[in-house]
Amino acid sequence: MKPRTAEAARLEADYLARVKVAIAGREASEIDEIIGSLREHIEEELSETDDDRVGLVQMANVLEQLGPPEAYGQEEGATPVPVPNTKVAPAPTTDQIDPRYSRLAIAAAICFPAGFFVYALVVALAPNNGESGAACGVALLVSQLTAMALGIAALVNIRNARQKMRGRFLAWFAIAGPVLLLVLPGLLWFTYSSR
Amino acid sequence: MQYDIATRDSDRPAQQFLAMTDSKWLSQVKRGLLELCVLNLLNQEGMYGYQIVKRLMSVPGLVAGAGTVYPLLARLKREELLTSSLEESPQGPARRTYVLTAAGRRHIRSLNETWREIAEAVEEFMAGDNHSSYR
Repeated sequence: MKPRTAEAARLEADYLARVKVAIAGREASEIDEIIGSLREHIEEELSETDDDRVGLVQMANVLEQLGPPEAYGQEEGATPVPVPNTKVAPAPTTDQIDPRYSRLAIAAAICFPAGFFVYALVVALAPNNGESGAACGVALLVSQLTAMALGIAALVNIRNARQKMRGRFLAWFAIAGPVLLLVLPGLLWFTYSSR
Repeated sequence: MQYDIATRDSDRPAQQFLAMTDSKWLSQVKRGLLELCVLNLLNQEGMYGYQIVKRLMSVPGLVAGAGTVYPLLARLKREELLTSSLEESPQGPARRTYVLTAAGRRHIRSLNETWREIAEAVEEFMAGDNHSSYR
């Protein structure tokens, strides 16, 4: 290290201190790196001069070439802004079916065969009981109409969901099944009675 | 109150805004390009800080100085794109030599590729500028 006059050493120390202030937002290792590099740079510049002792003017010239100390704090990424670690609730999307409508579709799909199954069971166990047969017929009709209503409600509500294949299938099943079940016997009855 | 005849008062905010955004844009472009240049320099060979600064300062238009290069080197080192080591010099003070890491070499390959694409695209748009001495 080339010897300096007291004024030159003070000027250098003051410059480096101001650079340190400008880069204070950086990590300690980075600050050391930058200050170390600057010391080396100053020494390189001074080593090219012939004088044995570095004076105030020489030092001022070197520091002037290095630019204003404030410039060292303007490098991009110098002071990263801390990002608050808060969890944000995901925004509602139409990617998935609302579970409520999904359950509605399932209920509709179960309602259709269940009503039919109960009716068939009662008819099979008590074929000659007219009262229970009529009651079961009404129950079957109600269950099928319920299945259709639930299916339509589910279908309307899951219309916009992208992930809708399963829900749509169940809803259509619940609507189409009772329609066939109620319409087919009606058609058969109409066909045979008109002969 | 005096009025500038050449420039209407109503135009001044717009001109000031344009001058401000222009210089801001230019400084951002130069900062981005400086990183590209530093990494490309080090991709050729390991260099010490003083050498890098002098080399970049010799390129007109880049306007790179110690105030931008040393903080940039420190950041690139933090990002593990380069490493530095102090080496004794027979002629002068010890020198901090910077070398690209494997990640740094990968990074510069990707940056160069992107830069070529951007430069090509921009050149295409600049084709209509007859006054340009770019070509």
